[in-house]
Amino acid sequence: MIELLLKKDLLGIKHRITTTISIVLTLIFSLVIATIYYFCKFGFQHILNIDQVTINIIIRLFSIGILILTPAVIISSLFSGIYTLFESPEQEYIFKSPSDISKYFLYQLIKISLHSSAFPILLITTAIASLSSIMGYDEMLSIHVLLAISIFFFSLNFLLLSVLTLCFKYFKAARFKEWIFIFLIAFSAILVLILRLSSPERLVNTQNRMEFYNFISTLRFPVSPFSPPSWISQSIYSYINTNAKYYVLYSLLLIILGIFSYFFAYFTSKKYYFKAWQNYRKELLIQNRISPDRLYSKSILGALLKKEWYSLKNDRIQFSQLILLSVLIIIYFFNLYALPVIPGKSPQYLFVIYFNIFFSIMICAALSSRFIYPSLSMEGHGINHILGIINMKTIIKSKAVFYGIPLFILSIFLSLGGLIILGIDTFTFIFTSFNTFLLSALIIWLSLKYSLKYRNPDITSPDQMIFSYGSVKLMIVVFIISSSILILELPLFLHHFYSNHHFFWKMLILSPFSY
Amino acid sequence: MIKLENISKITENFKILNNISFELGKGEIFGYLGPNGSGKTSTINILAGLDTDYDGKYIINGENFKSKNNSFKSIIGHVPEHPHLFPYLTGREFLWFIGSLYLINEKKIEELIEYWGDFFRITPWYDRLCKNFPKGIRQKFGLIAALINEPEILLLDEPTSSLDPSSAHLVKLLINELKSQGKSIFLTTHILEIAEILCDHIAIIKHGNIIASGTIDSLKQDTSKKDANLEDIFLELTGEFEYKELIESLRK
Repeated sequence: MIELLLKKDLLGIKHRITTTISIVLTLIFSLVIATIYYFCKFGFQHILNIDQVTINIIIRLFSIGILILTPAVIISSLFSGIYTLFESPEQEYIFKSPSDISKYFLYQLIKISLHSSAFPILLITTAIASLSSIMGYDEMLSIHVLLAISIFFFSLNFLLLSVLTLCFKYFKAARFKEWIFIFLIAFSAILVLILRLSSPERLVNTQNRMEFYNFISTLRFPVSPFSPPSWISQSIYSYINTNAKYYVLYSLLLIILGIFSYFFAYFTSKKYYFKAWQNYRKELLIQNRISPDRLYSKSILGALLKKEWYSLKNDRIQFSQLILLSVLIIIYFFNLYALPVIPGKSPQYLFVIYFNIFFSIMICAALSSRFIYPSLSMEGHGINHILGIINMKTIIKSKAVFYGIPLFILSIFLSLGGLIILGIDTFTFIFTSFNTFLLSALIIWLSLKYSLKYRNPDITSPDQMIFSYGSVKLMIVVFIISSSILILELPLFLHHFYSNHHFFWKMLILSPFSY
Repeated sequence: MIKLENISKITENFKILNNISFELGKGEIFGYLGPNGSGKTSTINILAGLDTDYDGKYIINGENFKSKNNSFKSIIGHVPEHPHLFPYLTGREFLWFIGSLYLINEKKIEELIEYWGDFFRITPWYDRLCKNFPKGIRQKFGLIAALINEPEILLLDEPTSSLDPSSAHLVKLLINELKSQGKSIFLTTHILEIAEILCDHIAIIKHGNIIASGTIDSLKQDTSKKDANLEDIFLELTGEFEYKELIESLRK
């Protein structure tokens, strides 16, 4: 059955499912463990009477949750990166000389490492930053932790990439890819068990002051005194204790590891991977053209934008939906205005202002799946006419400008408009803007990506496209990402909401989304 | 102008094209004939640059197409067999859009739209949505879209397949006129009579292989019948002559 699924790639589900499964599984697992532990230990009373201690506990629990989530994300993203590399090779790239090949490897190497490391590094930094601030450490420690962890994760990526590259040399590329998929599913399950052994919940102890070193040490799974993860703990521990001798030693070890793994990956990729990639590429039926310089001229973009406007104008069904949308926006604002919520510290007020972000994001996602996602399919086969003149990248770019910018403005208007009606403080305003800005951009990018991936030129009706696989997948992915980010940020928001502490400004600078 | 050297294409372990080689000179009309599924459209997609996943060399004006295909986009006009237009654009908007992509100035586009509208007698369709166009009108719009940029090379995939007899005749006249202007035309067709009248050079393709190539006279010399027309040559070379005999026996 699995083999059939892999071979046929039913519903195209193989591509990103690994990332989604591991994120969802680990997130649910960590939250369930944390919640069960919390309820067993402290009971319901603390939930109803939230005080500073409880908030700190919640933040710790979430930080631990992040630590549990991180390894799953990094591994799955790495494999997902490998998938992306094979599924959508840079078909427009033509290698003219050996130096081009080197540049290509360098580019791919950095791309994969960034993709797979960025998110976990940012998550860990949030966790560390929350904890170090609560425990009274300065932000320099957080920066130090970020650097140490970044080096480690990048090294890990480079080493894994080298191993994969070598494997590609000895196994048939297509078959190996299938093994990666099976391995990843198994790994996600094993990871949960391994992490369970590290017992992160032992760190939630309000009786004794938690040692920062203990917290850092949860990174060490599996535990080994000679393993690079423990070098991070040692380096940070010696930094806290101002032990220069050990600090230099472990920091040097980390840096050397980083440099070594980078060059190892670079040379193995250059030597072996290119050939495997090229062979695989031959199997793909990709029709595209190189982007000429003139594609980026304003006239071409102008023509494309004008065409988008004509298409929108001529499709009258869209107007009724736009009118309906504007009515919904008015109703939403009126509801917020009429809501019997008094600004202050009440949980109801907290819920409304926090949920407001999620609402605007979901509106943005719904509109993206209605307007952006079907826009490429709506062109039908007619797109072949213009693909003979310009390339797909430019068409996508025009869609991004035409639909993306208004949607972007709309979602910011919705979230901030709602908050202004509710009367909020400056921090919440910036926090909301920041989240809406990034999540809307992410949604628009995802919609464009899916519109290309699941393009069906035989279905030109947007209403039919909305119920297609790609659209449903888009909504699910957006829902998972937005809820994950908002859940992970909730402790920080809670801390600000109940404490009015300047710590939150510090958090904003150190928060992952600032990098 | 165009030279293909050993072009091969494999998709899903099936060899669509096998070492295809031919040359199209300036001011020539090249007829590309073959039964259904022989690889005609695949060749034309490669020539138009819509498909770059092939082995072999495609040389255009002395340079490799793959390495420089952007600079050649403006000199190629392509009319696919089934021109699909943008469903939610009107005819006028569609032609304006194609002209704008070629960076032709607005005034000139308007002039060209009016000129070609009168030529093909499709002006009444200009303000209707493309999704409502019948097949023949679409084909005419496809032709205008390819001609609007006045390309040096024209790739026509079954240009008269959906046209009524008078429009088909108009297209024949147009092709001749373009030839006299020095344009090179690559033409695939099932209507052998058109190929016989228009083409300077003919290649017959079967199962991805060119089985015969040359002028009509040279092809006639190669066949067993001395008074053979292009249809006879085609049927003999593609091994489908028996069908003709079968039909004749049915008549008797």
